[in-house]
Amino acid sequence: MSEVIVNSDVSIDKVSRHYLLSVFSMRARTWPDGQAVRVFILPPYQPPHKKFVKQELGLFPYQLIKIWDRAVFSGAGQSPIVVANHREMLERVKSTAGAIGYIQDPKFQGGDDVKVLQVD
Amino acid sequence: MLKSYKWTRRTASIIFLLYLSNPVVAGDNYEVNGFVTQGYFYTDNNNFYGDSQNGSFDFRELGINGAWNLKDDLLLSGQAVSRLAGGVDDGDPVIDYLLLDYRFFEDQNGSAGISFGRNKNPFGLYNKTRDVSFTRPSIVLPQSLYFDKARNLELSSDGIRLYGRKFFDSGVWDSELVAGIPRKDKNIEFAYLNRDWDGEFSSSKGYLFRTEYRPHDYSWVAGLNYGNFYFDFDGPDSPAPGAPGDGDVDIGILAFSLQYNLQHWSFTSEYMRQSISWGSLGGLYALQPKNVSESYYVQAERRINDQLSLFIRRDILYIDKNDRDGKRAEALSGRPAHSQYAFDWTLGVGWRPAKNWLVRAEWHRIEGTGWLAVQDNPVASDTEEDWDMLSLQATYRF
Repeated sequence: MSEVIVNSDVSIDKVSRHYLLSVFSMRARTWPDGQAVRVFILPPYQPPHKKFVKQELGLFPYQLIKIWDRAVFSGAGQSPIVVANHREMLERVKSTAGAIGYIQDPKFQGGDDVKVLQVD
Repeated sequence: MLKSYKWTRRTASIIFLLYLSNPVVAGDNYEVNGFVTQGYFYTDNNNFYGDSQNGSFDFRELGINGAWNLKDDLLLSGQAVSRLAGGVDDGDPVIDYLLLDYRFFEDQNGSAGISFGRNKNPFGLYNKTRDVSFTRPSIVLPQSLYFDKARNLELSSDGIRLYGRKFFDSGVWDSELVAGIPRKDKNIEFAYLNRDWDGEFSSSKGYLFRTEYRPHDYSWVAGLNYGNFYFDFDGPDSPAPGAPGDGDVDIGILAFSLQYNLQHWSFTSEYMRQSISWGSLGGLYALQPKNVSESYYVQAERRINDQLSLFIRRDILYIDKNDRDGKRAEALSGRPAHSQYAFDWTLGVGWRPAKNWLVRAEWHRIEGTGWLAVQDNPVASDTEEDWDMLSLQATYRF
């Protein structure tokens, strides 16, 4: 199971699946409270990321890469920040205002320094 | 000694670039990305992107872009592109887009915004990033809809863009409207008046609307385009026989897109109808004051794995849907009948040897010269109806 994590200053506790997709496809720029969204992902061609995209966002990983590329090269948006591993994911989400990311590895789940978002 | 030091330094910096993660430069609020593409074209008859009958390397695309989040709801972005493409594009750098985007509404159910500046025209599934090889399915986009011979009209417009998005339980609905002054150049004359006459297009305006619906899993996308463009032509006071005088060219566009996506397959089809009205120009144009063209393609892509993909496409163009075999145009203008249509079979393969690299090869078997650029084929009687084209391309992105 994936865990969707956000910086503790993000004011929402749960999100709909399609809003989550909007966030990870870099189309939502601000949280409902107006704060800027900062998206962190694991390396996009590796299994943990691909699994997250398929299971939690419900689309194929190649589609998400296409969405990012089209936004970046048409001036509509920016790309997500790629972190090297789960440890860095936790650290960056913890230390970046408005950050969102995910944890696939159970060893890194349940950290107290970040907030776990409920997805329905 | 000095030379080898320089070489080593350059090699080192290239190797360093290869290992960088994307984007190449990024801070908290900005990022910079870019790409370099080199192509090769070989044709047995006719010329595409340079003197391709002898093998042409006259195809190069370079781009660099940046996006800055000035404020949470304010994004500034721009891209400069240099494109060398035979007689059509000379490689001079141009501003592809440069815009300030204000997202005035956003919540969990949708968003809306407005952007000012040079906006990309939202045409079809591929137009906005047509010069970025990573985002297109092939080296050459289906020329019946994405014709390169008049690309500047299609690329971007100076003005405003309004956009909105709404989530439903079943999917997402996206709409946008771009209005302003489309980019224009000599190529527009070649494409819509068939040659470079005395006089020029002095002003232009237009709008393009696009709306798209898709389910949340992107398993399919349906899109609709509608738009109009107007070009004022300033001709000479007393035009030569047949030549155009003062007048305008009105272009109406209607297009549909449909795409179906599976894990390993994507099936795509797009259709366009373009109405051109040029009767007010006089001269030759009074003989046939209006024209409606029709174009469509069907394409299947197969993703074998993350590195390797294949595609096949059938692409059809009729420049005049009431003169599909081109005989009437031949009788009226003397141009070969095959300049009025093009039927293209394409087979292609794409390979990503590394994250930032893409190599493609494709083969076209074409009947007709409807989308062939006059700039690369100045003598119409030298063109051949049946021709084959092989193209190769390598892209590096950073």
